[in-house]
Amino acid sequence: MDSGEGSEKKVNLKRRNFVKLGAASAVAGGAIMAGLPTRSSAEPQKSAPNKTELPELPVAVDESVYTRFHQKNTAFCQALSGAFPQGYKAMELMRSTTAEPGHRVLDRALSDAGWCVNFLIANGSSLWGPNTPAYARDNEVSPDRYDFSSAEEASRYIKKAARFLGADLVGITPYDERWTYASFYDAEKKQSLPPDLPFSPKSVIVLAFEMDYEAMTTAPCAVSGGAVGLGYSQMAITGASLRQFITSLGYKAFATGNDVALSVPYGIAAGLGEGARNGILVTYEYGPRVRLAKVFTEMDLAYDKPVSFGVRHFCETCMRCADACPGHAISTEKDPSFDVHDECNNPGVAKWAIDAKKCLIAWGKTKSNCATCITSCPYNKPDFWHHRLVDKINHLMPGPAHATMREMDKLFGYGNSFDKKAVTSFWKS
Amino acid sequence: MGIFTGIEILFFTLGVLTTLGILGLVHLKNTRSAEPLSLALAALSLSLFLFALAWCVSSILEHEHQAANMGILFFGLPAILTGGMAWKKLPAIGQETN
Repeated sequence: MDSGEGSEKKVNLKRRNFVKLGAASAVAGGAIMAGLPTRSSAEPQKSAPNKTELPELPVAVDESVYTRFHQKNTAFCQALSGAFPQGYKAMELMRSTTAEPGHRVLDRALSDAGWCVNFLIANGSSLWGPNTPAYARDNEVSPDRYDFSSAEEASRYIKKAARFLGADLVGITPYDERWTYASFYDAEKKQSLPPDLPFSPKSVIVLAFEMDYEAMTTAPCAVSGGAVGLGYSQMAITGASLRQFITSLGYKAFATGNDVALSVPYGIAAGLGEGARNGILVTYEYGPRVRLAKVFTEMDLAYDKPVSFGVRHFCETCMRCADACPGHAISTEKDPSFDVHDECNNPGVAKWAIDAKKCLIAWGKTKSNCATCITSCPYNKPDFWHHRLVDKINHLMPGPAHATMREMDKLFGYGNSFDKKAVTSFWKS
Repeated sequence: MGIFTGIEILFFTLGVLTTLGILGLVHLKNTRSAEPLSLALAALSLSLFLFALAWCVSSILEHEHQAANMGILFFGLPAILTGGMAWKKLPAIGQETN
């Protein structure tokens, strides 16, 4: 029979073990919780071990060949100008409805609702560059200027204001004339305009807006079109609001959508993400599922650095977007090159050039804004812990393993397009 | 429960299950005199089970049901297999190991 002392010793040992276990669990739990996604847009974008800052733009530009891009050479402007009639026909087909899920009047109504604010305050800005209320270039500047103690402080306040006003990601980069259109295009008057800006910008604030994951899984259809439209509406709201914030601080500024300058190079330069095979910006947080707006200002700000988290390397092997593209508009070459298709690409930049005309024709065939290249991309994931984990593992793997990761992505059911069930699932959830 | 998100409930539950799982391993060591190999397999099984659960629930929360099913298959099945191997290596009840 145990003495009382012996029994007490046994109990104490268990208690000690229990405390040790509790402490170990707390440490493990804390480590896991630290890696959990943040859900608040008020917080800055994440740093991560697999996300490295680069000293310069990670895109080769052959300055002897490169010339600034004329806005009239975008596939949309080509279509609207009459130079690309198939494109114009495709744009007309985008609004047609059928009894098929995703293309019904119901789905089209959602698309219209998403685009509504964009139509009200930035009509046409997704295609060319009208002087709309949201993207007005001549704006009244407050005479009561607020002086920041440093460029770093100014950037911090600008970024906080941008997130408060609705941006999901914010980056700041110096103004780079190379990305400004060589000439603007007025699609109503069907004429090119000189690329006159109201002042000489010093800084460009690049804003990214997440498009709804579930709506985008329905691509290509009017429901995903609604998510795209909502992105454009948010671009106009936040772009105009941030411009007002800066002009109220006493500095010149104007906001832009797809007008004035190319968005993807600015997005890369501002450290929001990497250029991908599908020709769009892939961000760390949302993959390619973002829309981009820019605010040009005369303010001196602290600048972000371009980043890399393995997208370009992964794109060399993956090619899911190229396989999914209904217009076969995406390159299947392994490496980026200086090759271009036609006037819709600007030469002198090493990239996987998109055949923009084939792309727009596919929009007509799918009666939508398409977006299959966004939906099919393995980086298009909700901001959940397990996707961040896979990203980190993927970053450590050599090139050949990326093909396996691509197949696993398919096996797990991600990146499907033309999925009729996704439309039903979207409306039921 | 409305004040907690699904992911918060998931990680709280995982914390509870991790603690219970570790207690279970200690219990096996003390009462069944489990060998290190058996304990290692049991710990691996526990980790895989917790990971499968976390993956599955997270996938359901993001409305990706195929990913949830595949998560069970890819991580849950090895959890059962390693758990079975650990169980087979345990000495029978009452049997002492030297």
